[in-house]
Amino acid sequence: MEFLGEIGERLLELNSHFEYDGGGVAVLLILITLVVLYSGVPLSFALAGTAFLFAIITMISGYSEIQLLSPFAQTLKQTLSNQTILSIPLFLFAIVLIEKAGIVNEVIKKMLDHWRQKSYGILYTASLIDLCLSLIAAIICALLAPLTILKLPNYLRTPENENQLNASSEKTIFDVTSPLNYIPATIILILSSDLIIQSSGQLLGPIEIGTSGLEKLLNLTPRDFLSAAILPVIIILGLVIGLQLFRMFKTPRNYVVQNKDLPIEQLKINSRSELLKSLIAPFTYCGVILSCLLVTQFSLVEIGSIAAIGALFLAAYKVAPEKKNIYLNTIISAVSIFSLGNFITLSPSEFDFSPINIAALSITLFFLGYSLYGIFLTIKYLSEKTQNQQTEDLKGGKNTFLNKVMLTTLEKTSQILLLIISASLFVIVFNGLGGEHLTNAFYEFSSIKSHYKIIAGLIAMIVLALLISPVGALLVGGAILIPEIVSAAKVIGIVNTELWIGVAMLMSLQFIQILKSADQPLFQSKISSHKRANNQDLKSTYSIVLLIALLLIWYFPSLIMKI
Amino acid sequence: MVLAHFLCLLLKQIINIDFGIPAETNWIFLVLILFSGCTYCLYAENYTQISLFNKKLSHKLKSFINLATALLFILPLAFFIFGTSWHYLPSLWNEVNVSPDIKAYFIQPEIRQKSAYLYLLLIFIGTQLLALAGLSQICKAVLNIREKGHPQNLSPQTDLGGSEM
Repeated sequence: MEFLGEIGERLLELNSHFEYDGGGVAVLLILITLVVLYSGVPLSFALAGTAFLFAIITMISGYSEIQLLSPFAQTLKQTLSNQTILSIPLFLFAIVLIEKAGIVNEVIKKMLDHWRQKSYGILYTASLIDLCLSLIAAIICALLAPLTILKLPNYLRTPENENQLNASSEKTIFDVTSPLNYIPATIILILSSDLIIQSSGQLLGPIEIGTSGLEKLLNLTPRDFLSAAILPVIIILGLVIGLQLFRMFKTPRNYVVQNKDLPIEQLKINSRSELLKSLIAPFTYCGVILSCLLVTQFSLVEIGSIAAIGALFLAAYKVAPEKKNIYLNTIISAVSIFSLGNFITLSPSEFDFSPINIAALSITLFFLGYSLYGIFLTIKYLSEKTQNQQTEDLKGGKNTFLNKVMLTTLEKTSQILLLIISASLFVIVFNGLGGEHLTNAFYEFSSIKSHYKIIAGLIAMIVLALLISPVGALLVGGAILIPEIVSAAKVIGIVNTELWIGVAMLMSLQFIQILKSADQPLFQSKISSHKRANNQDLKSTYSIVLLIALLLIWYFPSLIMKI
Repeated sequence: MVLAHFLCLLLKQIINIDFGIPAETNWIFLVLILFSGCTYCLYAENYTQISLFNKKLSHKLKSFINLATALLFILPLAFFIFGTSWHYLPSLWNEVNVSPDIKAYFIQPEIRQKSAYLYLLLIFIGTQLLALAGLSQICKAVLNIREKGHPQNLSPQTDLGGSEM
């Protein structure tokens, strides 16, 4: 106990060396967390465990109050009962299904086969890939799809070694456009919208009416946030395509790829029909998800369940196509229920036994029964399919398609949830040990203009993301810095701060993504020499475009408000 | 979970009543996913970590780090989460008692109150699973330190994206 008391005295002494009251131990917490992270401890456990140990030591040594960790109970309850967080497993399940079924890869292959024989074919392919990805992954992939356009020119140097070039370009596309790579960004996007709205609700009170005149801005929801994010993505996509067209004009040789094996006319006929056939299902699916997202009839959880069921049928159509009649009939049944629901109300309080109501009830019950039957059959077929199609195990087992999907979803979801809880614990301990004073002092330093405060906050989060990982840094840094950013935005006079901050954070996240993947710090990339060239090229093109777009958004927030 | 939510959505379209799923059921879903998933990740060594310097270390040193991780982080965190959940059971009970959710049409308030205990039981089991996973990490690390384990147990994990079929 004397040892712990001595620790408490040393911590007080450390604080006294800091100009800002109580910030010393918080800084020590961050430094020790970084050391623990770099030693190889899992990210979630490092954040939570370090914070917990710090809290225990400071409480026992008498430096901090006994109630330091008491807010965590409420935070844990709020986290596990949050509707937005509840939608994460549903969307993750959908993305994993699409990824494992190879739907994205099939579309890309068909596009490459079709456009390969044309001039600038790869550019067309890449542009259409972006569009298809944005639709297939239900808006989520659109946020990071422009990466594909920029990676391709690196691999198309000369047309001499076509097979090697085509193989490497295909691999690049598959690597870059894997939807599972976008999961951390997806989660951060969903969580950020909820966090922003909660923070602004505490600081700013009721949301003020915007100048754009749209009615939906009166009641901002995470759906509004997501739909608002489409605009900067379109801006970025337009800028990137324009840049690539300019580069094509300068060096057209880099963009022409021709397949000399087959006559061009034959290739065109075969590939066009294949391409169109492969696009129908994904486009329909994405259209449904986007429609559900933009109307106000469904909650995020309900949209997630629709996305998951739709992905189930997409995957089943790809993996077990011999039963496609059942999938089609089930989808028609489910859609019929939604359509009937808009025209007929069978509410128990209003129901009367008129012939029309009875007929409507019978039809809807039939459709409901068939939908459920079809869904169970689909799950059964997916459970029978194994990874290796040549050695099918019809009795199911560990290596079946659905088992692998569910295991992957379980892994990712649990890690994300644990990371959220760990970040919450870390933020509570950080603020309790004097971190709040540090944050206030950080913003007082740049008190000249509120715009600089906002930029400083976002840069701080980017730097933190480069040091650890964007996922953890945005959860931790965002929770600490967002209230200050929001209050600074209020000073500037930005009316609909949530949308604006959300879009700025989204694009900052894209900026982080292009420097490295979402879960590794910047230093990791320097070790792999073969990746250095790609990162250099990405920094020189897309990063400039993104920075320009970010500056536009920061200094002209009205661009976002004109939705 | 997917089927439950989709079924509620279909029923909402048919009879225009928002059944919803009671909040307690969602809590149970998330607790199940959280703890079973974390335990599985520890078992499969498929968690997110910064392996910048870690992968250059020897197997013994990695085992020491894993041992420290389990002793200092995993086990205390498991017991802390359990202790925290235990303390807010009274508030959970009061919330269910005082504010019944109007969306739960066919689930009586008494059943929902009992589900709070199910929720707590699942957290208890989940934290114990996590603690057991931590203990297994300790055993593996000790065996590797004594050079009786298999070094491939210390294989690097994959990050959150890009797992292959």
